[in-house]
Formats: sequence, C-alpha cells, structure tokens
Amino acid sequence: MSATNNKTAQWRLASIMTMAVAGAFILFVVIVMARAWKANITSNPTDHPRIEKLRDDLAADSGSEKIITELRNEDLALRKEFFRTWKILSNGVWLLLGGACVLAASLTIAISTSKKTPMPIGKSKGPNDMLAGLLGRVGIALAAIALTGAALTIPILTREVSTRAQAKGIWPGFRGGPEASGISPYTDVPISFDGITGQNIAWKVRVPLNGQSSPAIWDNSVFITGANKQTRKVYCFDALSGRITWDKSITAGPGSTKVPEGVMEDDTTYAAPTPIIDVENNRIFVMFANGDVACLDTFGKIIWQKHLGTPDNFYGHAASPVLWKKNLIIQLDQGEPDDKLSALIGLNADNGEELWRTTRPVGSSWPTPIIAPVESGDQLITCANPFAISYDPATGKEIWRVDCLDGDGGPSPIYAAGLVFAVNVSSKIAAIDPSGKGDVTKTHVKWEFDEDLPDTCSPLSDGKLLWMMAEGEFSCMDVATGKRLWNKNFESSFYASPVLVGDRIYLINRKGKVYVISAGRELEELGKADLGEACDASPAFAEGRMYIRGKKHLYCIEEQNK
Amino acid sequence: MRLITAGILVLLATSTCALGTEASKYPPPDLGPDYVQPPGHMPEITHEIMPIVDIAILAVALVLASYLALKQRSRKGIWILGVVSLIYFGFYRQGCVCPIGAIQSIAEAIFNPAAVISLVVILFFVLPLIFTLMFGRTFCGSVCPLGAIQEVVLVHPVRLPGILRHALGLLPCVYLALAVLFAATGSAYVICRYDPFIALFRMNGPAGMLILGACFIVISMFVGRPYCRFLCPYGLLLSWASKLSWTRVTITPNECVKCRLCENACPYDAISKPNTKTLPENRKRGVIGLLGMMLLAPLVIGASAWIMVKTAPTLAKMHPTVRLSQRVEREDSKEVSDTTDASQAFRESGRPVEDLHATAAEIRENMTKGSLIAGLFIGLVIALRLIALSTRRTRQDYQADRALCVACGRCFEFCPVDPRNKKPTDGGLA
Repeated sequence: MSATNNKTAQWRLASIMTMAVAGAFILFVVIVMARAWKANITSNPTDHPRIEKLRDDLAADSGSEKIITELRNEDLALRKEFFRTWKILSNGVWLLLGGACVLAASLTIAISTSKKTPMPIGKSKGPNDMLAGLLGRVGIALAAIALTGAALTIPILTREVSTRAQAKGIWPGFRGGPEASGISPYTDVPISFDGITGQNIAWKVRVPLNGQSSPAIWDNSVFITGANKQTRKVYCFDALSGRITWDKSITAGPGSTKVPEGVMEDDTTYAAPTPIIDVENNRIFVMFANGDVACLDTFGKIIWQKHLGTPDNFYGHAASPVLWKKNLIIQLDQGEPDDKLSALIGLNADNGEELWRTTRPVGSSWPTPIIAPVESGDQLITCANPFAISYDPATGKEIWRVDCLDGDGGPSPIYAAGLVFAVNVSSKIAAIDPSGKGDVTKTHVKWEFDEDLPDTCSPLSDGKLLWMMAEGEFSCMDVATGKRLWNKNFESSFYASPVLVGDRIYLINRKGKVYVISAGRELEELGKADLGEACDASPAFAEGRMYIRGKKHLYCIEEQNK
Repeated sequence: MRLITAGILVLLATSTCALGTEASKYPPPDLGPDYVQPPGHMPEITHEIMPIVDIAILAVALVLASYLALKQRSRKGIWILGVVSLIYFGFYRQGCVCPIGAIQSIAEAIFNPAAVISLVVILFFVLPLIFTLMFGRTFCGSVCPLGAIQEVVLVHPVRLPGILRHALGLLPCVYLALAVLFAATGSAYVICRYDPFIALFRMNGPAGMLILGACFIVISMFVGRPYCRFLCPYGLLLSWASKLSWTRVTITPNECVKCRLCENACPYDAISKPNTKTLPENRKRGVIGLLGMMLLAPLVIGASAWIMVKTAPTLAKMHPTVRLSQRVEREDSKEVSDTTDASQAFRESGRPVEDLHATAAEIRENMTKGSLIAGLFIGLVIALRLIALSTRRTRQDYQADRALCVACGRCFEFCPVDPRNKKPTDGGLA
C-alpha cells in the first residue's frame, strides 16, 4: 500500500513539474508570438508611412529611378518582414498546440492521481419520471416556441433595407452639372470642419491616382477620376462609407498610350475634367488629358470609349465634358488659333459616335462650357481667347460671339439673371445678353469690368450679385450695373471655384483653408475651416454633405452632432 | 489547471484564425503596369492514397473503440484513442472527411442526380452507423475528433436542468433537417461552414468561425460535449441507431448492486437511475397524458411544416444563385448603387438576367418543397419525443441510456462489481 502511494506521489510530483515547464514554455511562445504579431501588422506596404513618404517623393519627382529603386527595396523589405513574422506566428501556433498537449496530459495525470472515490450519503429517492417527463415536455414546448419565433422573425431581420435613402444627392458634374452655376441646392452642410482633427469629417479616403477633377454625385455614389502618364482611372466611392466600390481603367485605343506633352502633372494633372452623369440613363462620362473619352454605367461597366486624338494643349486639357440631352459635348481647344485644331465635338451619348464637329477660331483653352437655359432655347456657351461663343447644343452651329477675352483663360462662363458672364484674367468680365446672333460684341454687351479678374476660378452669381475670386482678391459686384460693391484680399492663392450654399459662400484656397462668408451686399465672415491638405478642385454637394477632393484624399464633410 | 489548458486552446483558436485572416488580407506586390500576371491553373487531380488510409484507420479505430469500450472496459484506452483520433482526424487530416459533414454529400447525391459522391464519403458515413448498430456509440466516444476535443477540455462538468436539456436536445433535429435541406437544394454545406472546431484543426479560418470555436471550447469546459449533445446532426442519427444496437456499453459488466457510486459519474446525463421504487405512478394520469400527446402529434407536425414553408423564402437566400438574382434585381431597380463581385461577374458573363431569375425561381420552388418535408420531419421528431416522454419504462438497475451514452467509459471505474476495479480506486483517468 505504501509503495503504491509513493509511486502515486511521484507521478503527481512529476506531472506538476511538467505542467510548470509546459506553462513556462507556453508563456514564452505567447510573448514571442505577441512581438511577431505586432511587427506583422505594421508591415503592410499599402499604408506604411515610409512607403507613403516615398510615394509622395516620387509624385514630386516623377520618374526618379533612385526613388523608384528605394521604393521597391522598401516594399521588398516590408514584405520580407511580414512573411518572416507570419512564419513565426504559424510555427508558434504549433508550438502552442504542443505545449497545450503536454500541459493537458500532465494535468490529467495530476488529477487522476489525486482523485478520490465517491461516497454517496443517504438513501436514494429514485427518479421522479413523471416530473422529469413533464419538464421534458415543457422544455420541448419552449424550444418549439423559440424556434417558431426565430423562424418567423428571421425573414424580417434579414430583409434587405435600402441604403438609398441614407445619402441622397445629385451633383451631376463640374460645379453641379451642365449649367455649372456653382449653386448648391443642399444647404445643410457644416460651416466648420477640420481634416486634421476629424471634426465633421464623415470619412476621408486616399484617392489612388492624382487629378484635379471635382467629384460628381449620384445618390450613394461619388465619382472622380485620377490619372498619371500611363494609367487613367474612374473611381466610384460609396457615399456612406468612403469605400471604393469599383474602379475602372480607361484605355480608349492605340493612341491612348501616347503621353500628351506639356501637361503640368502637379497643376493641371492628367485628370482635370470632371465626370458628368446622365442621371436618367445611369451613365457616367469621363475625359482625360490624353484625349480619352469614355462612357460607363453606374456599375463600372464601360459602355463605350473613344480616343479623340492627343490634345495639343500646353498646360494639359482641362475642360469637362457637358451633356445636353443625348449629346455629349467636348470643347477640345488646342494649339494656336491659326492651327485650326480647336473644335467643339458632339458625340452620341449612347454609343460615342460623332454627331457633329464645329471648328473653333481659338487656340488652347481650359474653361468648361456650360448650358445656358436662355428663353429662346438652350445655348452652349464657350470661352477661349479671344471669344465667348454661343452654340446650338443640338447641332454645334454658332449662334453668337463676343470678342472680349484675352490670355490663357481658365474660368468657365456662368449664366445668371438672363446674362452670360465671360471673364479672363488678362481682359475683362463681360455681361452679355444672349439674345443676339452673329458677332454681338458691340451690341449685346451690357457692361464690362476690368479689375481683379480671375485666372482660374469661375465666377459665381445668385442673379443679383456676382462674385469673383482673383488670386486671393475676392470681389462682389452688382449684376444689374456691374459696379463693385466690396472686395477683400485673402492673401492666398485659389484654384477651386467659389460655391453658393444657401446664404453662404465657401472659398477654398490652394492650401486647403476654407473661408465661409455671407452672400450679401456687405462682407461678413461667417467662419473658417481647414481641410488639412492642399486643394485645387471645386467642392460637390449632397443632402447634408459636402465632398472635397484634396491633393491626396477625398473628404466627406457632414455635421457629426446632428 | 484544466482551466489553463482550455484557456490555451482558446488562445490557440484565436491566434490560428487571426493568422488565416491576416494572410488573406495581405496585398499583392505592385509590379508596375508592364507586368503581366501569370495565369492561374488548377492542379491536376491525382489518385491519392490518403483517403484509403483514412478509411482503413477509421475502420481500425472503430474496431479498437468497440473493443476498448465493450471488451476491455478501459477508460484510459478510450481516452488515449480519442486523443490519437483528435490528432489524426482533427489536426492531421484537418477534420475532413468526417461522417458529420458526409450527411450533406449523401443528401446532395440523393436529391441531385448530377452530384458526384466518392466511395470514401459513403464509407465515412456508413461505417460509424454500422458499428453503432452493432456496439452503440463507440464512434462518438473515442473516434470522432469533435467529441475528443470536447472530452479533453471538460474541466468542471455542470449538470444542466432537465428542462434545458430537452429544449436544447431539439436542436440537432432542426440542424439535421436544415443541413439536408440546404445540401439537397445545392444551397450550402452548413455543417462544414459552421463547424466550430474546424478553424482550430486547420490553423486557419474566418473570424466568425474563430468566435464560434472559442465559444464552444469555453462552454465545453463546463458543459459536457455541448456540440455532440445539442447540435451534432450525425449524433442524432447515431443515437437512433444506438437504440436499436445489438449490444452496447453497460455501466457494470455483472449484476448491478445499486451502490450509487456511478450516480454522478456521467457528465452527459446518460445514466438512468432505477425507478422501481417510484413506480407505479398514477396510471390514469399517465394514459391521459399519453393520449393527449398522441392527439397533439398531427397538430405539431402540421404546424412545423407550415412554419418551415413560411420560412422557405428566407432559407432560399442561402443559395448563391438566389442571392445573386436578388442582388441583380436590386441593382437594376436602382435600389443600390454599387455592385458586388458576383453581380459584376454575372454581368460580364453576358448571361441573360431573365435566365438568372428563372433559375432562382426554380430553386425557390424546390426550397419550398424541401422545407415542407423538413417541417414534417421536425414535427414528427417533436411529436415522437413528446410521446416518449409520456411513457414509463421500469428500470431495475443503473443503466446507460441507449441513445445518450457516448461510450466514453467514465462510469467504468466507479463500478465495484467490475473485477478490473478491485484495486483501490485512487488511480485512473478523469
């Protein structure tokens, strides 16, 4: 008996010691795995700070072989680190399993060597089968009720709820669509926000490819374009989450691969034209600096794509396409006026076939044409040195022209209070009555003004007042008389066109500082905000939301404390 | 200490699943626009020897399990065989093929003439059933890796109230009906998809399976074999086969002396006490109860069938074609503005939308028919259980319940009549 007890005690001691060793081993493995885990999760090259910095360096110094090599080496190093730590983790799991087995075995022995024989006390009453049967039946009934409840509730819970109502908004193109007035029908957007602290930022996502195109919005989707020398992409972002729903590369033909000369990669970029949406037919039309035009459906399927030839534009093509009924109109101004290369092209929106082409007597230009709903019928208004010209958007035939512009024009025209306003930095702003025909320079210009004129930002008007942003000098004029009411110097540079949101005007400078002022006859500053990064694109709006494309990120701005 | 072991198993499950999800998220390298990805290819099917080895090992394990449980009555032997099965069928063969999942392959092969089923799967399904018909649930006791892992982590068995046991005991029947229904309609292999221990066996798996596995391991520490008793659809089939078995595990090899030593030995509530002292009960009350249950049976069966038919449209969503059809419909009606990989792939395939909707409608119809049969089956099982609970059988001795006993051998060492337990009971395994 004593020998048996001794043997049992020895087994118990040995198993306890084994347990201690196994426990220490497991702890060691866990610590090593935790360290490897930490290293593993930080070695993702897609968003690693070192990679991001190198990408930025590469963007600043395009084509630098040194940076490319450095980037590749860094990427490789991170991948090696990831798979090294991943191997540690996967091996660690097996070691952990082995340790657990040893621990379990020694534990079992320890328990079995200290087990005592059960000793029932008192008399057994015997089972109450009647009660047990009753409880069993109640249990089954309860389970049946629970299962029935689940069966009838699950269809309700799993019913797919449309998210359509959660993010309403249509902003079909540059400055809000074919008329490009820059006036938002959605006024419930915050005055203050901060892209750095995240104040009133619903989401912020990096846009993979660079571009100056502004966002276009259709319900739950935000469309923008991005491009570099080789690649051109259309991105569809989910308006609710910021997630990229789809992206599509555009290569419209053999000519697509030719890199247009003179494009200022960091200024105009290869993706300056803003997409335009056909909301009735669920189509998105895009254009790039290389002359590629494409039509996609809202699911990212390319319906058609066409290469219009590589534009000979010394800053890079920037005019956004315009949609009028089934006509997709491209203002493809290029070269010098004498080259006779510039043209207004009408494409069939359904299939991309050329419907008409009108040669234009101008050289390279950058303003986006607009559709002016004139009383006599819609007119397509274009601006380029030296003319503001109106065309019939159905046929491309010229209606009237005014010789009022000079220099490298950037601002798009606007139509307000029955007048067309055409402007450029080196000339003047002209208020044109669009009812004339032919050359109406001397007969239909209501008034002109030639101070503080914009070189990039388009003007803005509510029909009574007109605002212009000229290199930081913001001025307000009376639409009826052309008299300047006030002006203020913001002492910074602006590319994004001003927008009118209810009774407020939003101005975004190139550093991303946002100024909100009252849209009144007197200047009143309502607030300031900060995007936190450089911005050249004009904002877009939806219900309660403002979308701004920064240099690298797309921001969704929404009041967070509703 | 057992708590520590179980804790480590939970940690293990967490780390393995996290590994799997992390690796699958890692982005491919950006090799520049000029790089052309090499086309993927499927490896050729080779005639592997391993399935035959699996069958051989399964057969040997079943023979050994039956021998250890019925002839040797060795708890230690059963436990060791269970650990070996866990290592081989669980960790080495990664839980596949297993008889539990084979239910689905069999169901699909029966209802879908185009489905192909291998002999290995059939044998995996049939062999444990045959052995159970002969020797009781020896497969559950020491061959099934899912049973073994729950057996190993059981730390402090807690006896569940009878009402809860009977309520939860209904789940395997529902699970079996749904698993067969989904497999027969080609919707999904839910048993495999929601196998709680597979992530642990494979050292890989999605987060959902990780959480499920961790939950089951934690529950298994205190509730004996929760998956086997309250979910396993194959366990349900084996319990029915075990009721009809030629022979089975007994608590004592000789005459029971009613010493009560084994009274609390079973953590699975599979030991029935003798009831000769409490019988006869009120016979008239018993007969009325039984008649009531028999009259209730058609109502229960009908209600169950009705509920299942009502649920059929929801169940049909398990089928990928039905989901795709609904998705495409929502996209086309502009209810959603984005696409899924599946809907995009469908649109790029050029297949007519009408064709897709017609296929989905056919699947919904099949699902409705299948749901009716599944409902009738569930209702019948409920009705039979209600009737069984209203009947009384005399038990002279402490007996292992024919259906519930998983032949784990825990009760062997408590029997003083067993000649193997003549030595002092200060040894043995837990």
